[in-house]
Amino acid sequence: MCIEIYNIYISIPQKLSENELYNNDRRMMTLQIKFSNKGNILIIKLNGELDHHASDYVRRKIDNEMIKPTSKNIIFDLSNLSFMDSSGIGIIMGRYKTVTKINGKAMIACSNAQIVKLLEMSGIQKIIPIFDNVDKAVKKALEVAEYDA
Amino acid sequence: MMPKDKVETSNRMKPINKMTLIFPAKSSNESLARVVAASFVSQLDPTVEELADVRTAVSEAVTNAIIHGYENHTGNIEMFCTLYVDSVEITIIDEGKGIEDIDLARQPLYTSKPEMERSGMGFTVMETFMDEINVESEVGKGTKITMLKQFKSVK
Repeated sequence: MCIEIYNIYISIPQKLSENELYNNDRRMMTLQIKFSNKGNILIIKLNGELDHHASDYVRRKIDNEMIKPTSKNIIFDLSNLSFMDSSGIGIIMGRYKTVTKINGKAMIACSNAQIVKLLEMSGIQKIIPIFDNVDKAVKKALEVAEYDA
Repeated sequence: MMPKDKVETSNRMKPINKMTLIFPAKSSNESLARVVAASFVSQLDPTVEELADVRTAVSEAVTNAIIHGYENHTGNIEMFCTLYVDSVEITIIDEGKGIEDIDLARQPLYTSKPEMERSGMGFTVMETFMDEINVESEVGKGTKITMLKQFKSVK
């Protein structure tokens, strides 16, 4: 009984403070992030506006997810992103470096003309293929994964 | 009487509206700055693409002021917008630490903060998405970025 109470006391405040931190971030932020898995592909779906303000939060969330063994290849699904600036390029490049270290592949799904323009301007499309929707990116990633296996 | 094309040029140079926004160098104000600039510019009824260009360029300039100018210290950023018949001039001023070598800072992929995973594309984005950009800076005093965007869709 005593041990239980002790355990609860220790674990809950820690969790709360962590949650509070993220919640505070989110309150001022117009960005949501969702993760899903298909085989060894991690799909990162971003919603809203990706700028420098959101970048720390996004980086922390993605890196937490990428340390999982199921995340060998990654797809950035930017279809629902209404705005992105060069901070987003920094984030994508950073994650690209991480997956290439474990021989994984990175892909981008994006149909927003302005974001595609930014990605092309940065030269990122030379190393990370861009698809106009996430299904095409997943299909390609699955092909690559099969080929590797 | 002035020739017709000269009259047109002088009309184009005449400001039709002005706006000033002053805000503390907080990253949450990056979206504020670009939304305000975009809605001010939308009075001219530019295309969605032109509007997005302005939003992106303002975002880059303000982000630069916050992370490089003030290096996350407190201070104010001033944004002046002047609207002309078919163009806008946006000036973003910080009183931060200034840029030592402007030419180097404007190089694509150059970043003074690689540890922050910055892409080093800020100035390149501004140059690509706007028509003219002018950078004035003094070490210890601050930086002034002036950008001009011509709206080809607006007649």
